[in-house]
Amino acid sequence: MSSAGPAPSDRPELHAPLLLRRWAPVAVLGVVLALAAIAAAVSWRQYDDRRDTVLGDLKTRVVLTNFVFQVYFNGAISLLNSVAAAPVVRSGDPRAMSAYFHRLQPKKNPPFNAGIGWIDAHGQSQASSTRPAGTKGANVADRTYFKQVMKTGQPYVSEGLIGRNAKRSRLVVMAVPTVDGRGRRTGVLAGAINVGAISAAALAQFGLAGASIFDRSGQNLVAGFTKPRNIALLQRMRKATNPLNPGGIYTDTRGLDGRSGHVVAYANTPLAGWTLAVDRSRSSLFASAQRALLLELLLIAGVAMLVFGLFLWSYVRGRRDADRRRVRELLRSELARTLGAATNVNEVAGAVASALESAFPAALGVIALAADDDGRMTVAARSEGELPRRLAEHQEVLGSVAAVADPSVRVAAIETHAELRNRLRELDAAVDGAAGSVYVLPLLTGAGLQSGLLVLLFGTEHGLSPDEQSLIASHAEQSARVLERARVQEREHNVAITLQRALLAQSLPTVVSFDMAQRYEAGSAGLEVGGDWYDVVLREDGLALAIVGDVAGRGVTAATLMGRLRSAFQAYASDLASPAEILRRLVRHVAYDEMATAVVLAIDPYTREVTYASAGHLPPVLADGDGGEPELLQEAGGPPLGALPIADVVMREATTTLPPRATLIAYTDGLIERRGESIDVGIELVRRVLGETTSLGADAVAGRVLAEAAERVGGEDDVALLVLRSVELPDRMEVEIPADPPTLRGTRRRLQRWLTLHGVDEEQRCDAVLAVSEACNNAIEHAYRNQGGTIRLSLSLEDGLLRIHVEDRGLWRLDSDRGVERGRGLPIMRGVMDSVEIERRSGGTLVRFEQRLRTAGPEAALKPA
Amino acid sequence: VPGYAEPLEITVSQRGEQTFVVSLAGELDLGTSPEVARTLEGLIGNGARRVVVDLARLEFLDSSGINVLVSAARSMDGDGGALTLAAVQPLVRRVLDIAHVPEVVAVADSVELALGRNGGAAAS
Repeated sequence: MSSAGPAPSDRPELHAPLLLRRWAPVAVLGVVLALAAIAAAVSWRQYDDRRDTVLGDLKTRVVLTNFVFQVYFNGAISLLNSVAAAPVVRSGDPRAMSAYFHRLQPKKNPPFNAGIGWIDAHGQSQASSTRPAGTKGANVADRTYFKQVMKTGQPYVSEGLIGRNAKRSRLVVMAVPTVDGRGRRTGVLAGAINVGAISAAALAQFGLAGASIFDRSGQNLVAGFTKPRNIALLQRMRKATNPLNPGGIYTDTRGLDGRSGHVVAYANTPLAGWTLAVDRSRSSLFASAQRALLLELLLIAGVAMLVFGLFLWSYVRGRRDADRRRVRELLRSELARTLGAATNVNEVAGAVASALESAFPAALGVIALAADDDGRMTVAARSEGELPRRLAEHQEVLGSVAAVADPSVRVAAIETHAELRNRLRELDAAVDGAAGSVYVLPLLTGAGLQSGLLVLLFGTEHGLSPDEQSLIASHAEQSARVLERARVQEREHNVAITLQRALLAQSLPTVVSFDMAQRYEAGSAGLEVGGDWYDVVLREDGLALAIVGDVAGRGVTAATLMGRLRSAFQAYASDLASPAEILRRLVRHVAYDEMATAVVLAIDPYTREVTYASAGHLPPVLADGDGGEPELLQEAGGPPLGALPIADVVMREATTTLPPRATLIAYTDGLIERRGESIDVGIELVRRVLGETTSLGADAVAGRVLAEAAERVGGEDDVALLVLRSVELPDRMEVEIPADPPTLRGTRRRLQRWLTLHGVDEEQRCDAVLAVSEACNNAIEHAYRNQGGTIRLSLSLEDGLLRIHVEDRGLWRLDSDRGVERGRGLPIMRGVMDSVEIERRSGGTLVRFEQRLRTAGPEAALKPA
Repeated sequence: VPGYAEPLEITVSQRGEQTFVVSLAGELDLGTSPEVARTLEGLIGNGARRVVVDLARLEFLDSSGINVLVSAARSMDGDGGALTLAAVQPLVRRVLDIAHVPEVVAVADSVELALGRNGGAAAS
């Protein structure tokens, strides 16, 4: 069992969506990449902004801090100026100044934490808040700040100095000139601050830890008065200063330590000659921005991958689902196709079994059971193979499995169903062992009855996915419907066949000296009965009237017409009509839209003559028993019944003689017709078989003809078949004839021929015929008085003695008014016969003749033509 | 059943003013004798004086046919006419002989002989 699905490429409408589907991942990938690129660009912009922010922030802080420095210096200088303007200072009295300075200095957080003092015009420190009054300090005449202030009379801030005290603190000295009452420069008022403390604190406060403060000599006040390695940068920074914008930033430069890739922000305080500089490597400065950028890019990449991955997943899943759907659809349509072609229960079962086989290549096999009319489950189809074969042998057990299977469970695994498992164990132990998983599916009719059972066998443990379960279930559902329909049709077909057979003559009448056989074979194609029929009527006059016909079309209409024609034939045949007349009368029974062909044969066993007429029917074949060329009876007839209105029908008949041991066969087209082949080939086959079966009986001949024809044409169509084989000439002739003068002539002819065939010489033949004729005349005229009736003739030949009985059932009376001319019958009878006896009884008259024959036996007479 | 051709063919030909030849071909029996009787009675009624019945092609004759021929012969005899049976075939002749017909009806070997003799009295 195999299945071949339709090639999908046959359907062009599939191409466009297919193309779309194939390129969908690429398109989506492109879109995702584009979106990711946009996001990355935005991210980069943000990174740029963030770097700008960092730089701006740095610069701002530097400028701000520098501004604080400026304010501080301005404040400090103002403070010194205000102290210098004090009368005590103007007086120039060191003692008083010393006391004043002490008074000025607060204990906590003094503005000049390293002290404040006055230096005279010679550079001698005269008074200091750090020294007791009246003591002199060091001479600072060589110090730049002293010299500058004395020279310019302007305030001045010194470079970083190292204090002379024991701590050798880092100092910056701010100096302003002092004047006396007359405005003469008297000296320098100096305030010292410990830069180590203030700078670190200030820088930390402004978030500039690690920044450098360079004094006017280039010493870094924050880092042990060291000078930067990159003096050129410091000089450039100082030069760049303008009063309105005291600072600037180099975003990518060699740093103060000379290493490249640095950011340096700076600001100058002209009053103090300070340069505030923050020097950071770019990498450290932008580290967070870079981290953010990196994070963002990672995020973008992650999201892009996630999105694409999700798409790809659903796409692949969709494709897989679509493939699965397509495969399932293919299987389903394949099943629908095979189910559509199935015409009976077994074919339906075969179709679904084969469909399940191809859907489950891993399965060991499938067994399909169908319930018969009594609800008994029998195996209707099964896979090849040992296990299915052995399991199928236990159809009663499988049937009982069906009985316990729960209809609400669509696919029941036997191993999960205790009852089913026990039933299965009842089977062959080997079967139980060899099957891994066994599933059963009840097939349910629309009314919920079990019409069948599918058994799916796996050699190993095999779980069914929901997908597979639904596939099986849909197969089962689909086939259950068709099975139900097929069962109904089969039942109808059986009923129709039964009716057909009932309509057809089941047993043929016995025709003396003939061996007859009949066949009706319902064709395998289609479920409807055809309109083929045969019939044989044995007439009172000893003739057998046979008909073989075929109504065009099938089904009830055809069967009805067939029934009508059959009844009509029986009536007309009994009516002593001839074949052509019978056919002509049958035309009346065919409606304008109906059509039938038929051949009617009148077979006379006593004369061995066959008269026939064919209404468009296939010619009967007549074969002799000596292996001569069979003859087609096709000389006479007319159009098919229904082809022409009765007024236009001309029906002819012909008569042929049956040779000894002849076989006559009449049939319908189902026997010989094969599409694309001339019917002559089929007729030839019949002729050949007849030629080969001269020694067989009629029934065997019919069987052989049917078998050989079925082998050739496949037995699809209905076949009606009639075979007559002549055995031997009867020694007795028994006929009943109407008491009707015109028919006497035919009867005489038949007697003549029968006697001729028996070798009786002409004179004795004529005598016998004359005697019978006279006896019949008497019966007609005297017994029946021309009112009609029947006359029974009986002739027998035994040991050279011819005995003839003529019997009527009339009342004999001799008419006296008819005159003497009427009395010649009896003398003639007595004149030609050896013995004449007339027995008049109440029920009629029996005339007995006897005649001793001169010639012996029929053998001699049969030979001459 | 076979052979439903005309069972008996009756041909009448006039050979003189009152002379007719009636040819019978086929079988003269109970079925066909009434027609022959009507034909002969018609001729006699129309004043036929001489009738020759040509039996050359008659294949069968029985008592009903004999009755018709004999009663026609008698009828003509009575009227002074004559009916002759001519060209009788052996099988039919056998029947005529058995029924002693030649004793009452003239029988000639041929139609011409019968016509010739009809000028005189009935033979035998």
